[in-house]
Amino acid sequence: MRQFRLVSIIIISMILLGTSCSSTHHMIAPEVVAADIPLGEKLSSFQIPTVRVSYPDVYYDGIAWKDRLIELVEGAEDYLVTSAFLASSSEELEALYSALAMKAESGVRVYFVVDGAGSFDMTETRYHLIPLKFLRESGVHLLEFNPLSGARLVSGLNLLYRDHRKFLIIDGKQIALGGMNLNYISIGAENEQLQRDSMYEFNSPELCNLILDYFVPWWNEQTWDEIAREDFSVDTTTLDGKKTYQGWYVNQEPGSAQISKLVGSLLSEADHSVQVLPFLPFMDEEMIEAFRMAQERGVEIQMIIPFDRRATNRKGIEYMTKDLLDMGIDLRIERESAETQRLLHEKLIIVDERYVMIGSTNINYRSMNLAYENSLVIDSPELAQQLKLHFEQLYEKTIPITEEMADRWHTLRNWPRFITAFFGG
Amino acid sequence: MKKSTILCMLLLFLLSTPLLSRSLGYGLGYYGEEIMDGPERVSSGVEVSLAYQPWLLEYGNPSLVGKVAFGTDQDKEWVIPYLQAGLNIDLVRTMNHPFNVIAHNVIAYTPAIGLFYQMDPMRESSSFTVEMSPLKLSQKDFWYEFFSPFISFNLDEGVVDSWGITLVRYTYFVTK
Repeated sequence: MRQFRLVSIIIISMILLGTSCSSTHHMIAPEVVAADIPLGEKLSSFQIPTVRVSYPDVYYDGIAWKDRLIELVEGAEDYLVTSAFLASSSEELEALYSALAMKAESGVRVYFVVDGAGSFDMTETRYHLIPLKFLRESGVHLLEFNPLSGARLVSGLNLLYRDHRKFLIIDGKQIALGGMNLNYISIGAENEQLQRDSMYEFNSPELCNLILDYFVPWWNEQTWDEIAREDFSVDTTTLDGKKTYQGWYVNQEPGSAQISKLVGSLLSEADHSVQVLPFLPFMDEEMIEAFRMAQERGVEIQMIIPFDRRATNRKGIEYMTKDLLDMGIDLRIERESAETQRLLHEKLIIVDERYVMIGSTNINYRSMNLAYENSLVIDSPELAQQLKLHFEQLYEKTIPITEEMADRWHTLRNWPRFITAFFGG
Repeated sequence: MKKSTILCMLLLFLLSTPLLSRSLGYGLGYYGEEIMDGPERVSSGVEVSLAYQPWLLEYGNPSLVGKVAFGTDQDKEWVIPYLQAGLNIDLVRTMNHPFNVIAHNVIAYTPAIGLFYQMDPMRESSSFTVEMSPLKLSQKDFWYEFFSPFISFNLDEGVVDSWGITLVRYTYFVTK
């Protein structure tokens, strides 16, 4: 009985703390949903900077991205900065991590951030997981963010804050961001365990500068292995002669509400259509309200929930669908099939065949509140069209979620899975 | 003080820490103490501390530290054997040491000395305490301290008041 009381106090306290500090109310704040303020002006007022970017090369296949990554690493001449939520080596990833190690040994400065959860990867990767500590022997500057260990239980709820960003900068010339981690299931597996995801590679001196301006002091806050901003030059000529597009970049710290404002602004900007790949759609009331408001304005919103063959996650998501139906949108779930055994890990928002939001951010409570995330909105009808075709291909393999299905899934037995994934997913 | 009250206080504290600023830290440790000058009392239990570290100097890095211990004595009675407030000084910070295996990230060896004003609320006495932390390891957001002995002096009478050891202490600095 005493234990039950204690567990109840902890859960209630977590929920109270989590919801009281939530930033998602910004998604429906008056200044965010104001219809008379243009998107650019709105984002500027939220201190969300603009950048010019080239048209990206899009990678949907983890193996293809791994091969490209090896090429990029081998081409690095001065420095390489990368960050991934989950990263570990395996037999299949030996070529990539050897390339990184060899670059560091040759004198190229390699800065690698992996979240502390990386060592506790509970996906299929756990059977193919070689921790990255060996990279240090080659001179790679490896930082494990907010490590998980017995001693660090002292940090309490701070352990909930995770670094979910995925990006890569090579020599201040090439830049890539998206949803792919650097582990077995993201870029290593050559079977149904390989996730479906996306990475975007492009040039953008402004974005390189923005990321590095943030990264250097952030890195120095974490480690004794300090670095200086002036040691990371950016090539300002990489966009010369290329068609460029306007973008807005958010590098979010937990609790800063920047992603909430970005997504809320995009939804309020929508005139007729929105397509969403949320990955884990664990949304709170404000997030649901933001989508519902756009739908009620006549915007047609389509959202695809991945089929997740991991029963615990799937049942947590299924529990959530009853609330998600309150959005009133075209809510779909992937059919179980040979193809959907490969988890759709992609995160994407397309607005009015014009704006696309890419990056690490899942459209859920955790990403909005408890994680470091990076997201880029690009104003490009061409890119939006390309990604919409991709979305439509996924859409063809989905079924609508009905009230009956949602009622059937909304069971007390699934609640623990839901609440665990809501804060931890 | 009731066990559940202490547990609730600890819980509330841990839950509120994401709101603290980055130079502030808090720690949890396990202590043992024996009184030498006065009624017999041997106690052990949990030590909670707060730390303020304004700088990160390579030599003589100071921090303000406050501590309170909660434990049980030889009769299994709950006691608050000491409250301490004072200065902790990291004598030196070096990366050349054999203890890197204990942490995921680069960790510094920072042996420290602590000088504290100590109060014993049960005896209503005060004393001056010196603590040594020969096995202190530091990251920018975390201190690991092992086997830190301390000794308290009654300055009025010029005798040793009590002595003890903090077996382990972990201090976390909020770096969100």
